[in-house]
This record gives sequence, C-alpha cells and structure tokens, in this order.
Amino acid sequence: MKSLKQLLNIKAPSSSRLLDIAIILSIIPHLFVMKSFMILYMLIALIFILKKEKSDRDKYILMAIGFILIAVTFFNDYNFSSFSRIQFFVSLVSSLLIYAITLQKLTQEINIYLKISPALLMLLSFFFFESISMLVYSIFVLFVFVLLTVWSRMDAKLIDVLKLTSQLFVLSLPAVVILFLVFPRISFEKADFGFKADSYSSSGYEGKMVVSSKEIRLSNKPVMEVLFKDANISENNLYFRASTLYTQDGLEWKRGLRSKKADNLVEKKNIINYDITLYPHGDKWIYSLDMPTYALKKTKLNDDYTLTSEKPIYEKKRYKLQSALSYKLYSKDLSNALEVDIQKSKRTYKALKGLKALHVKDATKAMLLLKFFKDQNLSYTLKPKGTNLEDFTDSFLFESKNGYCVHFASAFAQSARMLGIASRVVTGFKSGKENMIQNYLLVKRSDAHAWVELYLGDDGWVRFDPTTTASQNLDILQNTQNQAASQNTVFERINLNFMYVKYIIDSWILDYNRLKQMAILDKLLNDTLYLLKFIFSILALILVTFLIYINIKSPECKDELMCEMNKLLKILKGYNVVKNDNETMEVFLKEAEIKLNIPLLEISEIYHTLKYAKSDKPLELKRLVYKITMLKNRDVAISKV
Amino acid sequence: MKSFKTYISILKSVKNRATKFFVFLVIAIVSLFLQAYMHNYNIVFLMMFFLVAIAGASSIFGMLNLYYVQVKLLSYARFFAGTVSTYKILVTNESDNPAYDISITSNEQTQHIKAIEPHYAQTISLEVKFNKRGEEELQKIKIHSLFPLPHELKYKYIEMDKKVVVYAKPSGMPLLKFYSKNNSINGEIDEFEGIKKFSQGDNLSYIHWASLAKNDSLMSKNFIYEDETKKLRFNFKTMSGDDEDKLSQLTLWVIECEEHSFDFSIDLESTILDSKKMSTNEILEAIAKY
Repeated sequence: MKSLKQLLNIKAPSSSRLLDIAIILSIIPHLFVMKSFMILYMLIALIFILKKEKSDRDKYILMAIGFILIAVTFFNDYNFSSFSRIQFFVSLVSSLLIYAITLQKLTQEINIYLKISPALLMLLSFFFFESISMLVYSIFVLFVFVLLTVWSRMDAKLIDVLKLTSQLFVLSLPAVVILFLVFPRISFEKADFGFKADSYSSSGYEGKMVVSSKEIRLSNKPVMEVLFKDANISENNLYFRASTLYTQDGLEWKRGLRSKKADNLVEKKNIINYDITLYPHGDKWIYSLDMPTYALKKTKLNDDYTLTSEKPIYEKKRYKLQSALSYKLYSKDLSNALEVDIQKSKRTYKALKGLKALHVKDATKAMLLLKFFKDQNLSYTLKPKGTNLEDFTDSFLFESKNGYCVHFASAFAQSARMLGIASRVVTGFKSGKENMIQNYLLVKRSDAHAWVELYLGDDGWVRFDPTTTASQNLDILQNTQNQAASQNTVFERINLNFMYVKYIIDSWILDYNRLKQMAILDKLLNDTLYLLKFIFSILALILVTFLIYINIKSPECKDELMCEMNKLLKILKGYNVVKNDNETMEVFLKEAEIKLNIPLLEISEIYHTLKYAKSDKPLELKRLVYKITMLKNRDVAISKV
Repeated sequence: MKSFKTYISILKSVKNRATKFFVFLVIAIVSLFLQAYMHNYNIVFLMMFFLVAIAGASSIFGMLNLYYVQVKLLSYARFFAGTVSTYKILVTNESDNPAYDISITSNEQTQHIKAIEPHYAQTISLEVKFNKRGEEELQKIKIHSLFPLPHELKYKYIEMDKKVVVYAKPSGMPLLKFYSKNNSINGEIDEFEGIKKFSQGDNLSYIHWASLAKNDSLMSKNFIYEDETKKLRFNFKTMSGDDEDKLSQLTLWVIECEEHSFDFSIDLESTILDSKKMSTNEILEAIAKY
C-alpha cells in the first residue's frame, strides 16, 4: 500500500521516459505475433539501448544485425504462398517500424517520428487481433497514451493526472456510445485478418461413432454459444445435429455411401431463429438445431440436413441459423438404413421376434421398443463395465446393462432395424437449461450426445433418444460424479455468467454491423416503447457519466480542519447564518450561537486550539468531527420534525 | 454547478486555434477510419470515436483551465523611449482547481508558468520597449495554453487598459561632466576654507574639481558663506541640439538630480518646472509631453 501511495505521488518523469512507456505498451501486442528472429533482434537492441556508453559503432552494428535478422525472418520463416499479401505487408511494415524505433532510440534523440511511433504500432496491431482482450487492451493503451500526453503538460502528481484523464474518458463515453450505435456502416464482408487463431485447439467432432468400453472423461470446454431469438424453447428441443451415421463397420458407425437423393423437409413449423458462435475445431461441422431449414453463404446443407462449412473452421465463426422444431423429413432411399447383422445379436433378435410380428404401425413398434429398453433396467454410466464388444447389442441389453449414449444409440438403432424400421444414428450435442441464461445457451464438449432417428412412414424421420430409457445413473449413485459436480456448480455458474457477458460483448461490440444497426433503427421507428427505452438509456448514461465526473472532480480535502469547519458553515448556511470574508471564526461562531441558540462555543475552542497548535492533535480533531456530526444530526432531527 | 451563462461566457472569452498536432490527430482519425470502415472493424471504430470524443472533451477542459486565469497590472518602472523597461503583472487563478501550462505573451516575449494553485497568484515580470516618448498604452496580454492535449491552442487576450507616459530617452552629457566644463554657475563665492568630502545635498557649484581630476574623489569647497537661494537652473531654449536631444538631455539631468537630491528648475519655454513644487515624475512627464 505504501509503495502504491508513493507511486501515486510521483511527479512527471522526463519526456523521454514517458515516450519509452508508450513505446513499450504499443510493442506488447506485436510480441505475440513476431517470429523468433525479430524477438531476438529486439533483445539485442535492448541491450544496446541500455548500454551506458554508446558510440556510432553500436549504431552500425545494430543496423547490420537488424537487417540480417529481418531478412532471415521474412525469407526463412514465411512461405509466401500461405499468406495473403496484406498480412505479409503488415508484418513487414511493423518489423521495419520496430527496426527504425530501436535505431532512433540509440541516437538518444527524440524526433517527431519517434513521438508518433507508438500510435503507428498500435494501428498495425489492430490487424493482428480482434478479440475482447484486444478491445480491453486497446482502451487501456489509449487511456495511458492520453495520460502520458497530459502529464507532459501538467506539473502534478500521478494521482492528479489519473483523475484528469479519468474525467476526460468519462466525459467522452456518451459520445462514444452514440457514435458507435449510429455511425453508418457499410456492409462489406468482414476481412479475415489475424495470424493467430483462438487458443482452442480442440480436436472437435469426428463425424463417426465408435462403440467402446473405455471410460469417457467429460470436458467443459465450450463448443459453441447460441443466442435464441425466442426464449421459449423447451429442453426437449435442444438437440444440435452434426452428422448422421448409417452403416456399422464392426464397432464403428459411419456415414457410409449415400445415394444422391436428398432428404426432403416439409411441413416446417415452429420456426426458430438463432445465432451461433462456433469455437474453432479444425473440421467442417456446423452444429444446428434439429432441423435446419436453409444453408448460409459458404456453408452447405447436406442431403441429410446436416450443415457443413466449405472450409475447416480454425477460428471463431458466427452464423445466423434457422430451424424448424416441428417438421416432417422424408427420404427416398432407405437401403442402408435397414442393414443389420442378426448373427451378431441373436439374443436381441429373439427377444424382439414377438414385437416384430405385431401388426401395428411402425410408430407403435418404436414406442414398444422404447418400453422394451426401459424394461431392461439399463444404467447410464461413463465408465461402462462388463460389455462384450464381440456381440455388443446382446451384451449391453442382457448382461452388462450399463453404458452411455453411444451404447444406447447403437443398440437402439440395431434393434429398430431388427424390427424392420429404418434407423440412423445422429451424433451432435444435447444441451440443458442449466447452461442457459435468458436466451443464451452455452454448449460444451461434455454435451456431446448420440441419439437415433427412425423412419416411421408418413411421419418421416423421427427423433428418439434411447438414453432416456436408463433407469438410473450409476455415476451419480456412486457419488463419484456428484462430488465433482457439487464442487464445480458455483464455479460453473460463475463461468456461465462470464461466458454470457463475453458473448454479449462479442455480439454487440466486436460484431456490431450494418444489419444490427438497421434492426435497431427499424425497431426505433416502429416500436414507441423501444424508442422511449432507448432515449431513457442514453439519458441515464449521460447522467451516470456526469455523476462519475463530478465525483472524480471533487477536489481533495487538503486541510482537514477547514474541511470539517466547512461542513459546519454549510449547516449554519442552512439557517441563513453566513460568515463574511472579513469576519473571524471566533466572532462569527459567537454571533451564530446567540442567533440560533445552539452550542458553538466548544467547537470554537477546539477549532482555535487546532488552528494554532504547533503539532498535530488527532484527538481534538476527532472531537471536532464528533461535535459537528452531533450538530448535523440535531439539524436533521429538527428538519424531520 | 456552473450556470449556462457562465459556459457562454467561457466560450466567448477563450478561443481555440489548431496546432500542428491537430494535423496528426486528423491523420490518425482518417487512418483509423480507413482501417475500420472497409471491413467493419469495431475495435478500430471505438478507438476512432474515443479519439474524437476525448479531443472534444479536452477542448472543454482547456477552456476551463484558462478561463479563470486573470491578469492585473501590479507595478511598473519608468518607461523611457528606446529603452527596455519592465512591468510586473499579477497572474491569479480564481478557480477551485489548479491551472496548468499557462504561457503569458506580451510584445513577443513569453513567460511560462507550469502550474498555479487554486486561488493563488503569481507575479510575472514583462519587458516592453517604446520607441517614442509621450503617452502610450500597454499592449494587451495574451494568455495561452496547450493543456491538456496539444492539438489545440487555447488563448485569450486581456486588455491592460493602462495608459502610461513614456519619458524621453535619457541621453547626453552627464551632469557632473557638464559642470566640470561650465563652472560659471550661480551662487558661487570664491573664498573657501579647506575642502571636505562631498555629501548629498551639497551645492553642485561647490565641487572641488581639482580633487576630482587629481584623485578621482568628489570633494566640495568649504565656503564661509553660502547663498541658500541658489539652485540649478536649466534653460531649454539655450541648450544645444535639436528638441529631442534637448529633451533627452534634460531627462538625464533630472534623473541625476533626483539621484543626488539636487534642487533644480527647468525653463521649458512656457512652463517652469520646479523640483521643489513638482515631483520628478511630473517633471519628466512634462518633458515627455513637450
């Protein structure tokens, strides 16, 4: 604390130091994208700059080293074909700028180019990063630049400069908000600048399913963030499809060869619009809510109504999607949705013979199959035990009776085919309302799920989730999952809220565009209530800004005694007893006492003791504060009466 | 809380002028605009808006910083034509907040004050040179500042509203030298008894020039008898040179008489200027206004 106080009381450093701080701050983002040779050059340059005795020879040596290392950086590390021209250009310009700065620093001369170099470096860094952290860092750097510029003209302590800079920033906020909202945007496509992707390097979704007896470990890494336009979406509809799998090759479910005839989506009802922000996963999958209705630019709606991107997704991407929650999806070719190897599941086939022989609709058979699964008393667990993978379905249904969604889906799909019902396994994500705040949903890797779609004649492909037939969750029962769950619940909730805030910032600041602007304008013109809320919000922002400004502006109380006495004078002013400039405090308080019939003599005595005391008298000051507070309370009591 | 009228008054009294840094600011905003606009770069948009808004806010701060700085003429030395003279002004900060980076400019001379505490005053000396004698007016003072950001110069003029008399430039032969050449002066009696050290108030005509020449020491004759009614008399008409030279010479002599407390009178054609009846400044003024 003491060191912080000392720091806040320091006076303005030299202009050279101020410039150094600005340059260091503006170079930091570049360190994250610089190649190793450039970083090496910077370290060498730093050593030269910090040397106490410099000579002309140092300048020439550094010049030569810089030239060599920059040449090596650009002709060795970079493969021209893999980078766009503008990315190469920006990298080169920033390297040359840093080169020039270091050489100029060596001369110890501050010229105009050195003064503007921090601004140029920041300008270039915007080409590299576009994220919330860059937004926060940019505002922070701008604050510091303004502070340093003001400090060079203000002979004051750091605390005073901080106050003034804060006032400038606070006063500028309403203008920034209004300009940001209304400044016209043109709808050019967003450039894919940025050499660095987000730090997520998840393997992502593989598009196939393997029936395994291995334990599954849950990961809470986010897969995507969803913002629904309508909050009234039920938990039963939170199925995000990724791929459909038709053929089982051993223990692996694959897409298999498909005919060229696409599925046909009809009777689309309960249309829901939503935005998704997909985290990079290195593949082409786009996870859409059952059932997506159309493809977007640079995406493809496959014949089984799964969505894929044209290119693999290596960085966060935002999509606007639409799905029908109620639909009918028909297929013309069901040939590979009926393939089943009965030899590998003899026991299951035998158990389902009776069901197969029933002359009922497929829909009824499907419900009966679900009941059959329920009757098997299966358990859900992420640590399956005792399942024989050789005859998996039989082992799962009649022996081990435990597994997770992959086992349930695989067994159910196989069983349905034994009944003569076409089936396919759908893999994707199933989320829950516990991951939802208002319209915002966070889908995590632990939400990965597999379910089944059965073709029920006129109803087309219908979703069935056989995992729901599990009678118990072994992991919860054994307390292993629960312990971890209870510890993490609070943190997960905090994390979810944090992700929500982050999403809002991403969506409304980083991704604010013409469409959003037009949408706001449209609403303002057509919805009076929205217009009033908007105007009220702006006025509230201006008011809050003003209050913060006033609060920062209030001059510090340098003379404690006078500050306390000013409070007393303010109270007396309320009674129209005002001290004249040429009146002494003693005379004034005496007259006030007579006029108002309130005890002020003791206050006067304490005041004069403190005023003319040779040393600090903290006890007397406390007494004074107490007396004035009592007077104030008495004043409040009287005014209330 | 300031009233609306106060803000209008501030806007009227404090003016702005763009500096070279304004050009850099414009270039920065245009660059950011180009970077942001083509591809809807919202971070860059925000930086641009912040720059614009902060530049605007700093303009207000700068005007407030300067508005409460007032200047008052404190004192001044005598002004002589063709000579640099000084005058003192009191720079006061009437605000509750410190005033920073204040520059005072007058007659191409600038003085800089780093900071003035609230309700605090500082004395500044300024120099001025008038070329002609007579009545002149002190030039208005320009107070300016680049605080808080240097893209704009805030300034205001303060009229001194002070007429001053510029006296003639004191030049010519010094009084003592003149007397050593022209010693037929009124009030002299030849007989004297010894010499003594010249003290202030002694009659100039009693100076013992031989001592001055020989020993470079100013001694006066110790006369037995003195005519108390005698004093130095300068006649404008009989002096040599043109009017300006004469006036300059007279100014010099008046100053020297003041220094040595000599009584004198000047016959300035229609006016008699008597040191026993007028102050030195009044006499100088009369000479200046001739």
